[in-house]
Amino acid sequence: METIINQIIHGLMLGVMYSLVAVGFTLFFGVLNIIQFSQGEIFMVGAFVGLIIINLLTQIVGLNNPVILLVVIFIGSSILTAFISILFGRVTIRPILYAPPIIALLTTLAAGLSIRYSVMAFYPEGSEPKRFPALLPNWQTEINGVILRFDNLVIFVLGVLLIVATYLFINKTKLGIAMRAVAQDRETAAMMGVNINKVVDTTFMVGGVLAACAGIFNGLYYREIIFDMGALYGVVGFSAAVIGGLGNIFGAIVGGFLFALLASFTSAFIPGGSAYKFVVAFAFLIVFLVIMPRGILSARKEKMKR
Amino acid sequence: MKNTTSPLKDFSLILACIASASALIVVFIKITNLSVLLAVILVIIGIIYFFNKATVIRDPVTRAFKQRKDFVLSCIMVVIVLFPVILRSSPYWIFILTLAILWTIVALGINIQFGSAGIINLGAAAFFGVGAYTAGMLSTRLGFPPLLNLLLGAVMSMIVGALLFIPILKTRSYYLALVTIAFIMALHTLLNNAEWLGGAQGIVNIDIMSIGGYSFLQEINILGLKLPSQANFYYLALVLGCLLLIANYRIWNSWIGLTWNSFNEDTGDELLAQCMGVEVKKWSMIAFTAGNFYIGLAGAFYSHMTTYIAPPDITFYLSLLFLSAVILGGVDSILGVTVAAVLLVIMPEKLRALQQYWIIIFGIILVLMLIFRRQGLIPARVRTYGLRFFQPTGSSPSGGGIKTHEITNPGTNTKLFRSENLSKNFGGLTAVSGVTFHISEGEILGLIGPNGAGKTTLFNLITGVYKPDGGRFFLKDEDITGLQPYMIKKKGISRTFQQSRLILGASVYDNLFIGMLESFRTGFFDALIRRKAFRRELDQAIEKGNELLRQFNEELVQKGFERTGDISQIDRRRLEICRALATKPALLLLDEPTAGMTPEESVELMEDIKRVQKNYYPDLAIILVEHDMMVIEGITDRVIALNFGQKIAEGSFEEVSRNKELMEAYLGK
Repeated sequence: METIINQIIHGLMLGVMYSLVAVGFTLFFGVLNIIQFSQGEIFMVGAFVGLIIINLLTQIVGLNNPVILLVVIFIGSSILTAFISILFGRVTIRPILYAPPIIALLTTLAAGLSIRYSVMAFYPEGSEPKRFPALLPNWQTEINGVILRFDNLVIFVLGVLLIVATYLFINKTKLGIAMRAVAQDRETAAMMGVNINKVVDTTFMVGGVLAACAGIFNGLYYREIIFDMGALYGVVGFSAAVIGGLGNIFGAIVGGFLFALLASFTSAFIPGGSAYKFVVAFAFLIVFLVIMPRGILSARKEKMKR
Repeated sequence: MKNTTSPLKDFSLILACIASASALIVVFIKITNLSVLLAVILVIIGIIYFFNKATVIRDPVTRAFKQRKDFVLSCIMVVIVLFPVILRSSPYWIFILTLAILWTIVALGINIQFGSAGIINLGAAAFFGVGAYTAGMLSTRLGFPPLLNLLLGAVMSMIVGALLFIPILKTRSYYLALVTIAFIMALHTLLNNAEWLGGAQGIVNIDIMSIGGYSFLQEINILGLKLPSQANFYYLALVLGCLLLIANYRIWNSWIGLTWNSFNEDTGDELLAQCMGVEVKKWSMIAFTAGNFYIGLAGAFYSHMTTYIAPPDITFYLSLLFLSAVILGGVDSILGVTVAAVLLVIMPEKLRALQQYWIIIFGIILVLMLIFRRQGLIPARVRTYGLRFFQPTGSSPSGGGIKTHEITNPGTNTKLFRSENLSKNFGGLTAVSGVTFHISEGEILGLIGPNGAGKTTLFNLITGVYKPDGGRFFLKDEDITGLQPYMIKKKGISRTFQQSRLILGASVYDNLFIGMLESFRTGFFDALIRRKAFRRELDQAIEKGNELLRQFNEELVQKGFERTGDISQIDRRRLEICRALATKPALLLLDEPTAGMTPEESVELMEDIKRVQKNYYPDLAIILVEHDMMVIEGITDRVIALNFGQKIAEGSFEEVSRNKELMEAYLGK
């Protein structure tokens, strides 16, 4: 019983991170009709930017208050990663905005590869795993074998807040409404005065912030980051977005948690399963696509063609 | 040929070019110093650049190459065969060149998938691994002979690929990117952990390649010339590679290649292909499976060459590297892909000093290519079906024209097509509601109404692009409601589109042949081996195509093998109508054929349509969407008016034009 609950907790943690990456995927698809395959790399960049900020603050400024550090890295990394993400979008997506989705997929994939190996080549000893400082206090209680960690709670709450903030941004702000207009019909939105290039930037900004936070969560949770961690997250995020129904934010969240719980249950209940958790999860994805090709909550209704 | 210069001059030019090129390659391979190497690369780029600039040198050379293709090919073949002899002192490079051939095979496979059919396979390394592991297992566990394992490895890769394609049957084809990438990640973990597959150590001691009793470990000894044992692999790979290349070329130059191109997401048009009767999913799956055959075969060969296969050989990065051969070389360009695959093996090998930065540079090159030169370094050419010096036949226009669809009971003037209460909603918007109408054989029916009245939606319903929310429609009293577009096309309804849906990169003939695809009988076997049967059908198709084109414009026949993007706007419209007619329809739907034309051109086109129908297809029924009332008046037998998705008037043009409701709809109250 306690293993089940511990695995559920672990699954929820993973779910938060998967969901954040998946929401990014689904936004790119829903708004710009592209598959942005380097979301995982932006996630990795977010974590590394966070690490660099921590190192700068602790070693050069001499700041050691974990709460301030935490706030600064979240905000700092979000802003910087958002800029990197916007730049990335301007270079890779803007020139091919009207090409079929597979072209964007390939461009971002190739550019993501360059980013991944740039971090390896240019970060000091970049091919080694990097220790991520434990900024959250190590409080934990154990109730009947169930381990409750304080940092897990913080990550979960922050993740939920982030998702709510994204939802509000898209539904309540002017930029968000412009995004939704472009998602509905790009040509009409452009004719109504929506600046498409600005919407591209906004989407990459949102995607960058989500990925950066997920990256820092990952660092705080595992206390270790490595240059190629984005590869798996990219694919998992894409899978989660597809399971949920590409283009639907809630679908992506459901898909993210489903994928995470599936992976953690596999490692808990199948003997020797931890090695096979992603084999099972991906097999599930393939079977799922056969049964529900449009995802749990499909966003795209039939559109009028001309 | 008229432009023939003296053959001796041609031959010496070609020999000089090929000899200097091969000398450069050998020098390139032999150099080890990095700075000298970079200098040589710059010199090569410089030579290519100046060659392109200096027309005095370029023109005679290209002409010689074009006119003596057979000679060029045999020269190149001789050089390729002689490589191991030239490089016999460095067996490692013979091995690398063998690897280059294997990669070419893989890249050709991916080119079938991505280049021809536009389906993206990010798991190529996994299929390579399936082939390699199958061969390894069969060899070490069951002791199967290597040559048989090559075949079985390739077949296994096909089977696994076909299974993975099942989810794609119901989804958009770019989901295949996800499925294949998930597959390679899952396979990587599985191979690392499954003990029965050797775990992280992989499979070792796989039998080295042998044919009959001849082991590939022994040196070759011809006429006192000793070649290292690696040359054995080189020559076997070369033979296989050439066979597969020829097969690939023949398939590309056949209806199958055209079918794949027709729905390619980047260069083709899926909706069009469906409306022309192509079963897109089936053909995607065939392309995917055929490509995996190539990839799996190369993998099995690799196993029997290195005698060792392990999980680190099967990475996602390798998949991307394979795929990039297609992007860099030229999508759907067999020559380009071959060159790029070879370069992608040799370059990293030579630039080892840059190893750390190689992937970064590689990624940047890919992005630049995708953005600025998506057709690749050596773009694909217009398909000429192997007709090298094609001259259009001068046969006179035949009087009878092509027979339209078989009419079951002619003369009774039955309703050819009728709809009952057709309706379609998009969310809250009612695009078509309760439309009932009919059309008889030989009739031209005008469909008018203001923008947004539901005319195009009605066409999309009738052709199966949309499923109706209510109502039914019948062709010759057969209920065809809710059929897939390609089925409806088979029943005898064909259409054109409001926005031109020609494949501009393909030739005029190819666009026309897309309309005939279904009537073609020759398939894989004919394209590969029975070239005569294919050739006969090709000749018939060209004759039929010329006949159709001639009905509209005599000059179009001369432009058969020109790119469609190069012909005039009105000729493109004519071509679209020809393509629709090529499907031998009973009912033809023309969606604003004159959109974007000058009034003179519109009139010309309308007269063409009327004349062609009266002269060649007296039984053909046509529904015509048109805004120009003068045009409608001149050509139609009867008119239907739509507004807000409802039929508001029907009758002769005179009657409908007096209808008050319609006047309001167009002009306001």
